[in-house]
Amino acid sequence: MKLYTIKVFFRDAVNNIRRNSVMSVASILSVVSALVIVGVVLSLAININYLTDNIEANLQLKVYLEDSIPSVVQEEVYKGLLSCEGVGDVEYQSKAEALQSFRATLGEKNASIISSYTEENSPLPAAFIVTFEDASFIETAYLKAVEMEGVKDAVYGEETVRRLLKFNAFINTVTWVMFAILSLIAVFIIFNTIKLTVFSRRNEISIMKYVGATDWYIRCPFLIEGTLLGVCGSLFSILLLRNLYYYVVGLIAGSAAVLPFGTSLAPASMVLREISLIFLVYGILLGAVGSSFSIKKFLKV
Amino acid sequence: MIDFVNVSMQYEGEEGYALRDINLTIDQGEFVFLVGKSGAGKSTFIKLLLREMVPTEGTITISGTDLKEISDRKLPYYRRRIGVVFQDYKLLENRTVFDNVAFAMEAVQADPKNIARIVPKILSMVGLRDKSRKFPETLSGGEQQRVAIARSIVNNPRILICDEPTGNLDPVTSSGIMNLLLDINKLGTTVIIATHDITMVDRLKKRVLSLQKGQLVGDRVGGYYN
Ligand SMILES: Nc1ncnc2c1ncn2[C@@H]1O[C@H](COP(=O)(O)OP(=O)(O)OP(=O)(O)O)[C@@H](O)[C@H]1O
Ligand SMILES: [Mg+2]
Repeated sequence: MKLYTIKVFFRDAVNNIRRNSVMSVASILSVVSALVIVGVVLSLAININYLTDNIEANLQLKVYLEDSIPSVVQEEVYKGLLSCEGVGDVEYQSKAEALQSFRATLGEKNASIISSYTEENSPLPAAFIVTFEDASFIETAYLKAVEMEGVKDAVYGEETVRRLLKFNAFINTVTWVMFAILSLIAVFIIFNTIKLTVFSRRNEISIMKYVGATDWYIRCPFLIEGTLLGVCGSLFSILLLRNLYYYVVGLIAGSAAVLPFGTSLAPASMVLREISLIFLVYGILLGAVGSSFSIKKFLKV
Repeated sequence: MIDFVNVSMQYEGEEGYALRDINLTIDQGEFVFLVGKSGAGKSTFIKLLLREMVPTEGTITISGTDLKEISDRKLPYYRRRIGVVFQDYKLLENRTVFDNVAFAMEAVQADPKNIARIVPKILSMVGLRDKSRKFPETLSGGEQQRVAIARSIVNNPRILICDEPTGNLDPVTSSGIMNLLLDINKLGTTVIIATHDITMVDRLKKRVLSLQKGQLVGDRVGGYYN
């Protein structure tokens, strides 16, 4: 296909959009509304994944020991934990190991924050890490552990994870239904927009047929028009969502300790990169599907 | 080159025939009038030539190609060999004279360089060189018809078909249009004109096909009333 032809197509498509501005705006808004809904849900889902990844370590029960307890007491705790129902493995993590693993999580860049700590003055306690064969026993084990002598504290993340997953599943169903309905509405509005353009350009179309324009040549500008509407919608949605996300990140940063285990929201760049691509593809899809239907129905060539 | 063999056309749901058992041949380069009262079947004849529809009976061939055999995919390429002009011009009001003519070349994906070269030439030929930046509604009826003719020949068709090209024009303007069509014919294009304009037909002494109630009742060279 010639470059000039492509230029003509885009020129016509843009002219159509401008001439049919009210319906075009409606089309774009309908795409935006479908995408923003799905965008909010997607960013939630991405965050939940991100959080559960972070909390995965907490699917274990971590039993922190008081400093410098006699080895007999430590042995008692060990046996006590092993005897709990559903326990698979109990592993000891010394103060030195705790410090080391924390260093590893911080990464090289941030390791300097704790560089002054040594094994002796480290604030990180030694701990038993209990893994479970059956996660449903984790709570009973936790309650037992905190009562034991020599145990400073115990934490586990299973509950949070479960709640997050449940929440995620609920949100998913509700929003996918909403998303499906809004997508249909978007397709329908684009369908009607293209119908109006086809109608307003019927003279051009009939002349094109008489002078021997091919079918695809006649159809292309309308397909491009619908696709452009979809792309515009997705670009607006990306912008909107980007601002919204930064706003929420700021809000959460301002009020500390909303999220468990010191995790944070997924970084904006990661969320936006994933969502932008999905949006663009979906916007194009909505536009192309809407205009294809319209062309099929109203553009008999 | 254009051959009608036992061609009949009956519109769907109609009892009578719009065209009945037409047999004729039109050679390349001919200038032919198609005359007949309203409802005689002139527009039907033209629609068949344009392959807007196929005859219910018989065959129409052009340069050996049976029009029935042309697939939907090939149809545009067939249409490029035929120019068509209508009584109501069918110009695009939101485009200039130049763009109306260029539109036809654009639609068949002509090279923009050729568009820039050929359109002014054609506009000169139809006598509208100095009106190329004007919009159709600022032109007279005769001038609008010239734009329509320019558009119909810009892709260099082998056949030019005109359905009542002078129907809305006064006699002086009409003969101007007719002279233009004669010029186009001199360049080798077959020209077929459906018309009511008896005076014109009588004056020009060209081949006249007369239709009456769908039947070909006359085919001779000379005036309508000979
Ligand atoms: N689309 C159609 N459906 C049914 N009948 C039609 C259709 N078009 C034309 N006819 C009929 O076919 C016959 C021939 O019509 P046609 O339009 O070919 O006449 P014409 O010679 O062009 O007339 P005019 O001079 O008024 O333009 C008429 O009886 C008309 O009613
Ligand atoms: Mg007619």
